[in-house]
Amino acid sequence: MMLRGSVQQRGDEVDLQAIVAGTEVDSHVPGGEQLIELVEAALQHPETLAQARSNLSAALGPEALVDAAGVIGNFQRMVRIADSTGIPVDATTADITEDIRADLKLNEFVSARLET
Amino acid sequence: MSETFTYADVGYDIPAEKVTAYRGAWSYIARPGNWWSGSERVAIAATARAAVDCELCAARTAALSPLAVTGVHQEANRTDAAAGLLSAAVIDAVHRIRTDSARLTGSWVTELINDDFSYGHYVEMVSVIVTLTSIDSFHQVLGVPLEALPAPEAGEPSRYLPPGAAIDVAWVPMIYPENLTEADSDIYFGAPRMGNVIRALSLVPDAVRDLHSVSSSQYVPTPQVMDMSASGSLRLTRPQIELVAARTSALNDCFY
Repeated sequence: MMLRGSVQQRGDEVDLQAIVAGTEVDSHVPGGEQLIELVEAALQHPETLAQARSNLSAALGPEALVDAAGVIGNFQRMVRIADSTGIPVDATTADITEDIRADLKLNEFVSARLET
Repeated sequence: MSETFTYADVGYDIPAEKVTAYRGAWSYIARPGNWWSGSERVAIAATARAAVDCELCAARTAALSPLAVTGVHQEANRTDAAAGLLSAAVIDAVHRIRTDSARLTGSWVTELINDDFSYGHYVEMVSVIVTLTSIDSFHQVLGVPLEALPAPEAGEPSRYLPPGAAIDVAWVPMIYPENLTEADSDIYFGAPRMGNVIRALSLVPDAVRDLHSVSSSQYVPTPQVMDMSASGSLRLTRPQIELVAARTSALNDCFY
């Protein structure tokens, strides 16, 4: 799990439940609420996208908004590559993320149940 | 050809790395590939773009099972030059990958493959869809108009099939680093191991090259991904980047 690794590398804290619970949980990542709000607006609530852009720009600056838009675009790509080719999680990643996957119930995601 | 991705008067300072990568991606979509002509690739991109507003796809996405909803994809209103170039089966596949990818299955992919539609066709089709998706999503998030699709380049597909590809852990053939030939030795940067999400497109080596190019501008360059302090050219910190990545994946119901 890259989020946990990147936070540990900086000696900071993170609540990984924010990945599945969204803005209901404080991730402890600076600007995390506005970043998650942008993702949720883009993927689930486009009617709130203008406000989400404004909130993120106010919190972290317009450059952060442009960067976040790119990251969303990148992972809109990556999830479709994974889903459409049926790749499994890499062995090393599976080993080191076993606890996170259980805690966040990632193995109950639809794509995980349709691997074959 | 007029200049693309100028971002004039959009209100944001779009980094040069992104502009260069996006222009390269448009060129990638426009030219003949290994299995599809330039016209067919642009048609795939146009179809993927149209799928976002497809009523059949919306009904399927809302249904308990996508197979429970039948009908015709919203192609009838298409007036662009790309309309009519693709078979109904390919159009359906493009729509499913664009709008409901989490519920695809290996048996669905296997049933698509036949004498006229190889795994190479499938992987290259996926590559065009996801390239279009990544760049259109960037525009959508910023509220910037979508870029007009490129004019297709003339020419025939090469039908190049890289040696060493085999089906093992995925639904499609992939290449391990040790099986790369000299012609494609660049696609994993010489690394002895490579993540499955990169290997997934290796049946079409140019698809991997395109992935690296766009991904490096939107995320972290592939060789730096496992360096947890790396953030590439982005101004966000790596934890901020990964929070956005993880939430995007979760909302797509993606376990990977």
